[in-house]
Amino acid sequence: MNEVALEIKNLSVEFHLRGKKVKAVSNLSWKLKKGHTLGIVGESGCGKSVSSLAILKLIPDPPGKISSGSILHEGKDILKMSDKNIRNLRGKKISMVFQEPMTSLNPLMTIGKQISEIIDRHFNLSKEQTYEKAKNILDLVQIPDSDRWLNGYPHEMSGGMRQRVMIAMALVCEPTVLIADEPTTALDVTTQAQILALLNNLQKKLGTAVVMITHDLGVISETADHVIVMYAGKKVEEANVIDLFKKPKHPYTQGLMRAIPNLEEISKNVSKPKRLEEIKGIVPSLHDLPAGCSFANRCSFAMEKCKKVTPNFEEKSSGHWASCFKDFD
Amino acid sequence: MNENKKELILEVINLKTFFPIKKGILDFKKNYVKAVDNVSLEIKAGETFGIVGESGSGKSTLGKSIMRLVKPTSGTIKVRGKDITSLSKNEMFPIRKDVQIIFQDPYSSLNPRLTVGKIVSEGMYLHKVCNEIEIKERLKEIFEKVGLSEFHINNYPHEFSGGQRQRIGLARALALNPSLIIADEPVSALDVSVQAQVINLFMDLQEEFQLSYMFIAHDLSVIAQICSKIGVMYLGNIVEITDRKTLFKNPQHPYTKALLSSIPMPNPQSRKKQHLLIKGDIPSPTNPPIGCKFHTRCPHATKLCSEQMPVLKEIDKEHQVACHLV
Repeated sequence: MNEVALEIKNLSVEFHLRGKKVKAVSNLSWKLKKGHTLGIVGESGCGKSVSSLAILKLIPDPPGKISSGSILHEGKDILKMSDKNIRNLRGKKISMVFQEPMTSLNPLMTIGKQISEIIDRHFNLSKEQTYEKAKNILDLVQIPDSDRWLNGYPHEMSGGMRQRVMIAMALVCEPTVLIADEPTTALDVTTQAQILALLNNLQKKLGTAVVMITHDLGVISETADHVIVMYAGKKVEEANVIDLFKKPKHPYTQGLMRAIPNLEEISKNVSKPKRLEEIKGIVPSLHDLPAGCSFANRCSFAMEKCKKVTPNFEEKSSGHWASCFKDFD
Repeated sequence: MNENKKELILEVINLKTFFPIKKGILDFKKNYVKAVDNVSLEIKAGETFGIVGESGSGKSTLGKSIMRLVKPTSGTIKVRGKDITSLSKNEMFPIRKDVQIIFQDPYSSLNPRLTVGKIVSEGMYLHKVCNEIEIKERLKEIFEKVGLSEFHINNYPHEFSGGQRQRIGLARALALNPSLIIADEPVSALDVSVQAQVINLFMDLQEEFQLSYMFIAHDLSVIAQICSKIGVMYLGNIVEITDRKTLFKNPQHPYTKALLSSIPMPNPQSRKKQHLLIKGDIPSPTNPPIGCKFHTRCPHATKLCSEQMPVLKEIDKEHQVACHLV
């Protein structure tokens, strides 16, 4: 079972904006095992979405450019594939669920049409078979009354239902990899819990490997097996989910975890609201990243060295990697 | 100070805000969206009252109705004991100085054509709180208080990040020295690390200026962090209202329980085997279910729930729940 479903090696993505070069992702590598969930967590602008768009070569070029690296899927480098081959891959082998269920569906097409478009593209089925397949996938994502909804339009649906349709469209060809880019951010908590449970069930049923991209550490801790923390286009920490939450080894990860209100703690200690521990300052602009460690100017442990030299991404303890000069035990 | 002796800043009694839906010019039968339906609450001096609910629960409309930014259909709103429900625009003017609002979207709630100094001082000029020189002094002071530098005064909103903009919104509200600030999802558009900064700022300013907040949010963990008293809204009604401790230790309404259980915990070891999932989505407010509005999604619903709407009843000191089964 430990086969690799998708591997990214030294991926760098640049954007050329107004004559300036902005490195959105630099030197990112990760492996996704079959059937596993890889969580990528970070704040806006850390490159988590850009790196996932790069997997399917969805970066608009220009201004974007994948400047180096390789993306290996079933032994082949996606970045070296022809456009035609990539089109055969998208939706069939690797598919994606986007954040905005409101804008990622076509408002002029019925749900059924949008789903059968994908089936038509990748399979050679009769009209009845296509309809059957579309209906089955809607049933699978637990849309009640699927017959009726096949002829319905996106605007008639609630946000949660639209996200279910997006998931249905992504899974209709039973891909090996599903990239979920903030799939629940636009949803209410109760709906979010439903969608996460659904994704989890489907993953077990279909054996899909999932890349879960989110800013929400709670979502990560509930879904991921392995986690990558990104900051300013770089991977700053990587570990399995238990180790990461137990002993984060990068000051940024530690800061993030303290910055979220912890309900467990609040319900224990309820006398007076406590201040949150904040991370000072803001994420540096990718236009001019500081020399050395990008997090140094916000880090409470920063030393002279941190502002000059970029720390290596090294293994701190078994399977737990971080890029920081300091060792946290 | 004894809790009960604190001054009541805001009192809302049976507030209703309905929006008519017209179907056509010949259709005289009017239908209503009951955005806020019979809501009562009290906010005492120095208290932070949280309103939590999902989208469509009417929490923003409640905030706007209290500010009289939308016209309430019926009910009473009292600010420091004074009934403001049917005051005219002119009569409302001095009240607006005392009750300020901060909006969710820091990108669209600041006028892009004014410098942030102008945005923050506009209220002070309008209300003639002090003369021009003093206003300039005060401006610097407020900017410092919310963690911005005075060099920012002549910049335009687009030059600021989301977190900074929310600080500007807070500065604008603070400029008039209000006693109550209604904050409508003030941190939901911000990144986690910045969100913590802004929440802390809210808490610091409250301590310094003895502010009362009404904090509207969909995120229970944010509410839990800052609020002392919390009301849970569902489809225009408050279904449970209690202090923070009880809400988290002993929630009574099935919807509150579901909300609490739906929050993903940042602790993979306590990964819950099964969340207490509630089925379906929030029903459309144009056509809410008869009886208890939650009964269509409630796991414990009985026949009574689909027939009769439960009223808020006091089950403990300062703990009210609207559920037949409690």
